[in-house]
Order: sequence, then C-alpha cells, then structure tokens
Amino acid sequence: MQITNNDNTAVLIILAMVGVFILVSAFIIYSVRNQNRLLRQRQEFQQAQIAHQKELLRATIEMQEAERKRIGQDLHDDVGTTISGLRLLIEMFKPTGPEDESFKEFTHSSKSIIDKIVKDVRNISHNLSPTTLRYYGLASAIMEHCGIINQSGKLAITFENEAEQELSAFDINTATALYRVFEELLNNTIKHSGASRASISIKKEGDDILFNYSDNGKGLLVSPEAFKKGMGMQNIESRLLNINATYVILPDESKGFGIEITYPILAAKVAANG
Amino acid sequence: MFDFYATYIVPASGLIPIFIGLKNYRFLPSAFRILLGFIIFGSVINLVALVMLAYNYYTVSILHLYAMVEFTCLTLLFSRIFEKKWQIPMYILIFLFDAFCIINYLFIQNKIEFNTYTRPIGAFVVVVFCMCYIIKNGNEEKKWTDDNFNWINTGLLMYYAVGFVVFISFNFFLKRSIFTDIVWTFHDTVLLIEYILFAIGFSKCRSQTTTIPRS
Repeated sequence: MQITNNDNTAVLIILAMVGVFILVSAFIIYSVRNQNRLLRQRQEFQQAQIAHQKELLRATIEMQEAERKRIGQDLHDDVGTTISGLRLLIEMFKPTGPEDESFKEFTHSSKSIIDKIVKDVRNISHNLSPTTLRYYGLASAIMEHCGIINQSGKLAITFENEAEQELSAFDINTATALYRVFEELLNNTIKHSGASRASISIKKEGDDILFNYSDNGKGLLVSPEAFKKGMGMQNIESRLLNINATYVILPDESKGFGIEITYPILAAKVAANG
Repeated sequence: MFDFYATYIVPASGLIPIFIGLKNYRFLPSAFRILLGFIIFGSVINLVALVMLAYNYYTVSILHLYAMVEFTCLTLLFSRIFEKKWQIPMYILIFLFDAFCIINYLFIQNKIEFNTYTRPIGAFVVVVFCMCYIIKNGNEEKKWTDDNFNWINTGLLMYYAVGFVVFISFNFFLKRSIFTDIVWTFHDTVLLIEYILFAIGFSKCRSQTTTIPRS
C-alpha cells in the first residue's frame, strides 16, 4: 500500500481528533468530579452546621432543665421546709393565755420563720430575674453580682467599665444574655478553676464593645475545642449567638483562663429597632 | 461494513433522541424543543442527502444550508440557557454567521467544495458556548447528573470539539482511503455518542417534572 501526502494529512487529522476527544473528555470528567466534590463539601458543611445547632439546642434545653431543677430544689429545701416547720410549730402550740411566755416566743419564732421565707423567695426571684439588671442596666447588675461574690470571700473580682454609655443603650434581651454569660463564667471560675482573683473589663473599640474576662486559676485542662463542647460553654455560645456576638478563648500564655467577647454595636441598634 | 455503519446505523441512531424527545415533548423546556427540532431537521437532511446520492447529485449545497440551520438552532438554544441580557448579542451573531454562510456559498466555496470556512467557525462558537455553560454551572449546588442540560452540553462539546478538526479538513477527504474511512468512523462514533447523550438529557426532563394529580 502506497502512503500519499493526503494520507499523511489524514493521519495527522486522526491524531488531532483523538487528542481533542481525550482533552474534552478529561475536561468533562474533571468538571463532573469537581462539581460533585463541591456539592459533597457543601453538604458536609451544612450537616456540621446542623449538628452544631442541635448541640446548642440540646445545651439550651439541658440548661433550662437544670434551672427548673434548681428552682424546684430551692423551693423544696428552703421555702418548703421552712413552711413545714412553721406548720408544725402552729400545730404544737397550745396557748394558756395571751400573757403566756411561750405565746410571745411563738409569735417571735413565727415572725422570724416568715421573714426567712420572704428572704428565700426574694433570693430565688432575684436569681430568676435580677431586678438591678432591669432597672439599672448591665453594668450595675454585673457590679452587684461581683459585690456579692466578693463579700463571700470566695473570689476577688475587679470590674472596669469604659463603655458606660454604650452599655446603658442595650436592650433587656442583650443585657440579660451578657449578664448570664458573666454569671456562667464566674460560676465556672468558682466551681472549677481554684482561682483567687478574676477580672472583668468592658471597653469600646471602633464599632465593637469588647468584654474581657480572665481569672488566675488552673486554666484550660483540655483543648479549647473540647472545652467548647462542655455544657457551660455551649450555653454561653448559644446566648452569644442569639445576640450576634462572637467570642475567642484567649491563649493560655500565663496561668489562668481568659475569654474575649466582641459585641458589634450595629447589632445592638438593629435589635433595638426591631 | 464501514459504509453500512456510516450511511445507515449512525444516521438512524438520531431516531433515539427524536423518539425520547417526542415522547417527553410536553415536559421539554424551550431550549430542548429547539434541539429536538434541530435533530429532526438533521435527520431529514441526511435522508435527502442519501436520496440525492442515489441519483448522483452533489450534496454539498445541502451542507451549506445545514451549517446555517445548525448554527441558528444551537445559538438559539444557548440564548434560552444563558441570561436574558445575552439574547440580543446572540441574535446578532446568528444574523452575521448566516450572512457569512450565504456569501461563502455564493462567492467563495460555491461549487463542489465543502464549507470549510463557515462550519469550523460555527463549531468553535458552539464549543465556546458549551465551555461558558460549564464554567457558569461549575458551582451549582446539585449533582452533575441531575442537571439534564449537562448531558446535552457534554454531547455538544464532544461532537463540536472533534467536529472542529473534521470540518476544517473536509476537503482533504474527497479521495477515499483507509485513513479517511478511519476519520469518518471516528467522527460518526462521536456523533453516535452525542445522540445517546441527547437522549439521556431528554429522558431526564420527565423525571424532573412534578405532576400535580387532579382532585
């Protein structure tokens, strides 16, 4: 068989056709794989987000349950027991006359028990919804809470506030969320850290308000990732998420635990405007 | 064997997407209907060419007409797929290309030559459209196989990318040899793959339509 110039051209054309076909097929396979990979990544990301939301929801529900349990326990242990004691006292009392010495004692005891009940109920009510927060704002409520802890001698807390004006503009929901966060942080410090000192500082930086919290306790004994999965931290995270605030656990350079919460003022304005 | 494959099997395979397309016609979006019309037109042209060959007529003039209709249909198809702002530029492109085809037929490649100036340009533009679609839809949040136009686009991209090389070199294949047979077999096989991909695209249209039952 004689190969002509035309045949040579045909061979080149065949090669070009095969080459183009392979290139196009490779390009299509690549784009299919790429699109499917992107889809898989997005699905994984969405699933992780859903799982995280579920975790937060679970933490919120658990927290509510814990709160109910605590209220129930407080009512049972303090108010319930005291009222039972009062009932027993009334039942046992057999007066002989108004001038009876034991009648005076009975009156006195009854009054002190009633006073104790009033005090207990006030304490429970205060824990449920701090009055100071409602009437005097976030800074006063934190200060009051710190004062109570300082008085107990369990922890010495220093409080610095350089954003008084911005804090007073917070709506009640934001203020309550931030108050609960600090309450939880202080609670964690008292319960787990073994710290003797803690400090809270609030300042304005650009369009944000920075809340810094630190103590001189044991610090994180687990990784920040594992720490974030704890119920207390999830409670904090879900509260901060609700008010569009973010947080960073500060690196454990010196002894102790530290967290920085950033609250965008714009979010406060949006929340305030509904 | 080659003649049977190239003359009967491959043109007849065009009936597969036509059959599926007509079966699912009421579910087809306008772009798919244009494509179905084009496939029917191509099959009719094939049939006419076969008859003309049987009576020893030149079929080249049919190819000039075919190139015009092919480009018009495929550009109209993509004008329905891309954003609306591209429609007017695409209509202008159709007008310019068709004008070029007429000039080419009347004054340049007007006798027994294949239209090697116009058809490769048409194929190149279609390849560009296909690539644009892939780039545009690369970040879509759905499975590649679930988008029925992906199948059509892949068929078009494969055929017109390979076709570009064939259309340029049409006039080299006027004399038959074993090598030209290989070229045409390869070309016809890619055309067969294109028809199968069109058929898959048409069949997917039905599964993506939700029918609300009458109460």
